[in-house]
Amino acid sequence: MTRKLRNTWTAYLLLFPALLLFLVFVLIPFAYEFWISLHHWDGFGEMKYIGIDNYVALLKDEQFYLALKHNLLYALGTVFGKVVLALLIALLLNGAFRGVVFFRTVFFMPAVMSFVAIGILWQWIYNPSFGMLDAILVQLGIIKTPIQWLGQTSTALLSLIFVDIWRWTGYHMVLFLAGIQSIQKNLYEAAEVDGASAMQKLFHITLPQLKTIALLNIVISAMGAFNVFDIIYVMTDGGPYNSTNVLLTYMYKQTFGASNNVGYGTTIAFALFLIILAITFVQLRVSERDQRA
Amino acid sequence: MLRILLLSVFSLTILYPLLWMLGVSLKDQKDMFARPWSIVPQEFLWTNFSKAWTVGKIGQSMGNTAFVTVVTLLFIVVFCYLASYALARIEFRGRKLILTLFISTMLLPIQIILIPLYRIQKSLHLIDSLWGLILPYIAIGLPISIFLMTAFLRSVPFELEESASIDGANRLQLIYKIMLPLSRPGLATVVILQFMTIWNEFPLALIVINNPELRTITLALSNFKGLWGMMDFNKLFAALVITTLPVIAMFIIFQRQFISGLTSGALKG
Repeated sequence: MTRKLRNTWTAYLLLFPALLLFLVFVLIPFAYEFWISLHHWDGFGEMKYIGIDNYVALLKDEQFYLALKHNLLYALGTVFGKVVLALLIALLLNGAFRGVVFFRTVFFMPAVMSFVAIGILWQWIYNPSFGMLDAILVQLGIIKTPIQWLGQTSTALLSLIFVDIWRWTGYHMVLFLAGIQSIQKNLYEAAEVDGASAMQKLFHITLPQLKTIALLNIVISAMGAFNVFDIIYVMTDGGPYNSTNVLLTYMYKQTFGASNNVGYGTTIAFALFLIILAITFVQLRVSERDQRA
Repeated sequence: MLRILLLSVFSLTILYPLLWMLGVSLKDQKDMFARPWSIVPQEFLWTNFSKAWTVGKIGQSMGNTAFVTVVTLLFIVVFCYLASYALARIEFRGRKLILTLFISTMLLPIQIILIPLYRIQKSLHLIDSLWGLILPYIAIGLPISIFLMTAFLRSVPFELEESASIDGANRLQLIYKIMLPLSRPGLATVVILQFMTIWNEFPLALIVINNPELRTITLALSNFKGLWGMMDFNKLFAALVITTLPVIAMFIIFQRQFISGLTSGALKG
């Protein structure tokens, strides 16, 4: 046996457990998912092959477009909110001063909690009779009567977006902080020699240097927006009147709900898969660039 | 000064809801209705906690979650280390292909393959078993862990292994005695990243576990909410506090590791 061949055997032996599990619980499900999406199936009886009929139906499905629209709005709101706020806080938090560790800890805290816990907490914060939000707003005289934040179509999605921003801003802030701290000090020194003001340093050095990391933050939060499930399932379950239904809650209802339309459910999942794949691709390109830089 | 003021205002938007959660968990309904905005209860109802603990079977669901998390993490550490060692330190046929396979799937969320996963688990009789969570969690956690770990292992100088191998160490000794002790920081990152994901996971648990005895924390909470959230939300909040405290406490203790774990997962991912 040559050394090279022996190495190959060793390598595969070491990889075996990881590859086996990966095959059974990741790769095969993906292939299987596509296979099911070509069938009409309730999950119990016979699978009936129908080709691309599910996909054709999906393209004509108003509920699908509505869910997709909610995902897009969710992405728009959360990406914008998280990135802007995170950048602002990171800029404020940069540098050494008393309390810096305290603030960083506090901002990051929601990121370690589960969306189920956060969803329950905020569902009650938004509650018009027991919740603190309306109580405070009324107390301060900003509104006269409590608002049904989650109970009306006009505010439900926005309220969910806000909770998402609340949870993840600290996380994106830390990414920005890492970016700020990796900017070379001599850039600032040179600018100081030239007599640049703090504002000029911010706009001509810091922000341009943060472009890649900002893009990364945007891509990560966009991905999160299309994957959103837990928080919506817990807080509104897609309601009221489907106003917060997104692709994953729609998929869940089609598959595990009353309609038991497994074939169609996988078609929705596959459509989402294509979207995530596109975002993943951007993400990999951005972090590649990040590593080269 | 302005900076501290702004930061304080921002941190208040985080702290106030969390303290409110703590406050509600110690109140009764009357207090709640009278002063919904307040944090400090008029009377501290510690019994909310003991009742939530027994009625909601929090202990059991915490135990289940802890079991699933610990076992999954153990397997991920071992499998990820072995696989990453092969991918980072050995030249072999198919290396590039396997690495590409892992990298291209590492960012895909579990939710996308929920349906086929459920079918496969059903045929493997893993539905309503904690192993039905553990095995997919390992499999889905592996790609990103391997990606991070491979990058980490590549950064260890190859001369170390070469000189040890000249001294007569075989491959097994290299893996176990030379590289493993050096890999601790990398593995710590993997553990923190996966701990967060597994401890908080919800969608897969939702479809795999039906048996109340096997519920994980997230399932127990969402179930509470449906069952007696409406009338007994003070106890619901007590449950919320009990299940959230361990993660927050862990985070405060291992702050540095948590933050670097989560960010390197993102930055290198």
